Amino acid sequence: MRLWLTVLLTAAAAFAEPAASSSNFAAGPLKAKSFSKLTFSPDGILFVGDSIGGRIFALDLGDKTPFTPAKAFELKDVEGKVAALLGADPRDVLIHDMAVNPISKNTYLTVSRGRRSFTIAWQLPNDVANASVLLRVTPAGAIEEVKLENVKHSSVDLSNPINDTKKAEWKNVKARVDAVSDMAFYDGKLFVAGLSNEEFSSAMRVYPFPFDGTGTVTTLEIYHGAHAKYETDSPIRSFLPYAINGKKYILASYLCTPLVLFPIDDLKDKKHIKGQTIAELGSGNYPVDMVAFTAGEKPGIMVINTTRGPMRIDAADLAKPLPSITAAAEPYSGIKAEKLRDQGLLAAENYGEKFLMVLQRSKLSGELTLSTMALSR
Amino acid sequence: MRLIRGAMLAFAWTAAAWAAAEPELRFDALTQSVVATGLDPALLKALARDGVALRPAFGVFLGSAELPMLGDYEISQSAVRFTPRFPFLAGRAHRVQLDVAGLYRIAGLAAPAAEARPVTISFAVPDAPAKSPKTSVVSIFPSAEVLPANTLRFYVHFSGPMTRQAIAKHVRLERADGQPVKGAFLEMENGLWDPQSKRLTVFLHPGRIKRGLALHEREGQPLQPGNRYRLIVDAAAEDEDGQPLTAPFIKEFSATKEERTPPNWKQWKLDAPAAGSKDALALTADRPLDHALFDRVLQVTTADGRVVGGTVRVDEGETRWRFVPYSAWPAGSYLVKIAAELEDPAGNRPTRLFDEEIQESSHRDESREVAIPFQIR
Repeated sequence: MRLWLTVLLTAAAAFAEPAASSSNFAAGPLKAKSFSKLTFSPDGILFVGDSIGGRIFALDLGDKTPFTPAKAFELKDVEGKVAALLGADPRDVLIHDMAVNPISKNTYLTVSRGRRSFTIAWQLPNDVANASVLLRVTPAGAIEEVKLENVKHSSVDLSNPINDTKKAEWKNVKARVDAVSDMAFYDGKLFVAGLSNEEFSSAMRVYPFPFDGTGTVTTLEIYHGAHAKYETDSPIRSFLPYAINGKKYILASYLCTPLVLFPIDDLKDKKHIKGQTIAELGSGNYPVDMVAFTAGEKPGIMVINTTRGPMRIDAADLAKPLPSITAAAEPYSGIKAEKLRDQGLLAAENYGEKFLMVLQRSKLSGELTLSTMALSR
Repeated sequence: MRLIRGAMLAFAWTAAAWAAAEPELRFDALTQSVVATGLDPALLKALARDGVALRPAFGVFLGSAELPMLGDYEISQSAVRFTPRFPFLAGRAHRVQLDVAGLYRIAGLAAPAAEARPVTISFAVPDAPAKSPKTSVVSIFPSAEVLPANTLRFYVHFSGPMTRQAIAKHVRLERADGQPVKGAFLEMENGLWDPQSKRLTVFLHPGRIKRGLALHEREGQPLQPGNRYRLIVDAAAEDEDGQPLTAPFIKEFSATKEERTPPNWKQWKLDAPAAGSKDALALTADRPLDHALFDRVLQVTTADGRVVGGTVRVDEGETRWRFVPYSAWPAGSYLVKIAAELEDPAGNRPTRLFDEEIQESSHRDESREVAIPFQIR
């Protein structure tokens, strides 16, 4: 009898083992210096890019209870509520990034008290402060802190991150804040865009997951029609891994706003590649987020911009022969980008099949709202 | 962090003592934390388990916030101490709500009936103690006591970084009789600062100085030959910590007739040091020159164009430029290159008159550069 019990317990323990992707995780305090960028894997691992510390962390938060959103969600005055948690003025609350757990649909936000530190219009949140608090917003509307004193995680050092001494003079910040400028998980690998110390500093790093210490670094060059020149220093601001006619690409957007394709097969270690510029979405603009979704049965992607408003690119247009911009080009050259209503969108994430979860700031009231955007009428 | 210090040997006694005590809250200014005392030791013991969240029943709120702020709850044998995740805001009201019945619920214990009502206190964190002013005006250039009436700009050097806001309110030009010179300066609400916020450039209104412009004809130039003036930086100008200056700064000067001739670089005197020494190379101009430009736009090169590194000082009432090389002078031929933008305080450039040094490739006067050869022997 006792023997049987032991066997049963052992079997139960085996079933309780974590998923393969988190098998090499250890519990302990998360030693990140900046929560620069967030992204999720399909099985609910949260990746935190730490530009200042030069590392990527993979977190297993045990947040794996499936939830399928059926109705709209709205959390008003997000900055007011976060301010209460931080004991700060709402005017100081700065949201750095957002990610939605694809399983539980909990929304994760990285925040700091740095919003009053902006000094010029060209700065991005990571330029003015380091996010140090991770918050979770549940589909029920509760906001809670994700405690990181004892969290199951693994990490990988960012290979050759841009030096701490280099400056982006034109906006008066350390270039190091862009060591990680965006991340996405695709095909079992983590793709990390950002700046390196290579001669051509814009780079895409690819790490197999679970992390095993290996990874590749490929430096990137683009032709920027609005500036009429080739560029290698400007980091990708937002990107999506995206399959077009069966071939896998990185679809990347940059400041002032070229949209560029890089075949994933070309991302070889220590190689330098040139992308194909397929659109210029307009200068004087940061593309701050990109999201792929299907609305009204039409798949496409949305680029969220700081000054040019959100734009939608139809997947059908991406499947046609694509333009390649290699000479000076006016705004809105290249592939068609449909301008969407500009409701002050700042970030968007997939939230089940029927919704996007979006952060938007009302242009009239200034209020920041986290809410769903329905994908069908 | 939850601590139970020592075994609860005197439990029976403590419980008896507690029976008479009332739950109490206080703000501990020394440790910037909030302490709840007078609680049942059995309750404290039950709360001290891992993973018990006290925040719903023991909340500290900023102002009228509805959500309690994040922080650590440390449980000892006799008290619960809340330390906020970020420091309390100085000068702001905070309130604390302790729901003792709620604590019993969280602990899974039955609450004594008498503990039904919440305990609340409010506290304001005192403003940070007033710091004593530490920043002052070190100097104002041009330093001369007699200035041409068409002087274009002043440089105000501060001993430390200043706030960039609203400096215009604190800088003014008066005649000797104390009457303000109205509209003397180019509008500059937040001023024109160097990157360190230590040097302010104040422009006298160029439209009023430049001959032939309507503003010049209508209002005349701010400075009139023969008059005495005072340029005043008042003590209320704030440094980057919001502190006033240690004292106001007054520069008294008189205006003399306009300077309408270009500096004559051919009359400038160059004193070359001996080969093998690290002595200064000194260039003495025919008149005071613009301090910032004189400091910045001269360069020493070898005859074949390699830049010689060193430190620069401008002295003798901005008439002398001294260059000390990083390493000893090797014998040879050198040049002092004077960039085209060098000006005297009235904006006259040496290269506007002298055609000898026009570079063949250049069509624009502004791009002319003067090169004065010298020998180190």
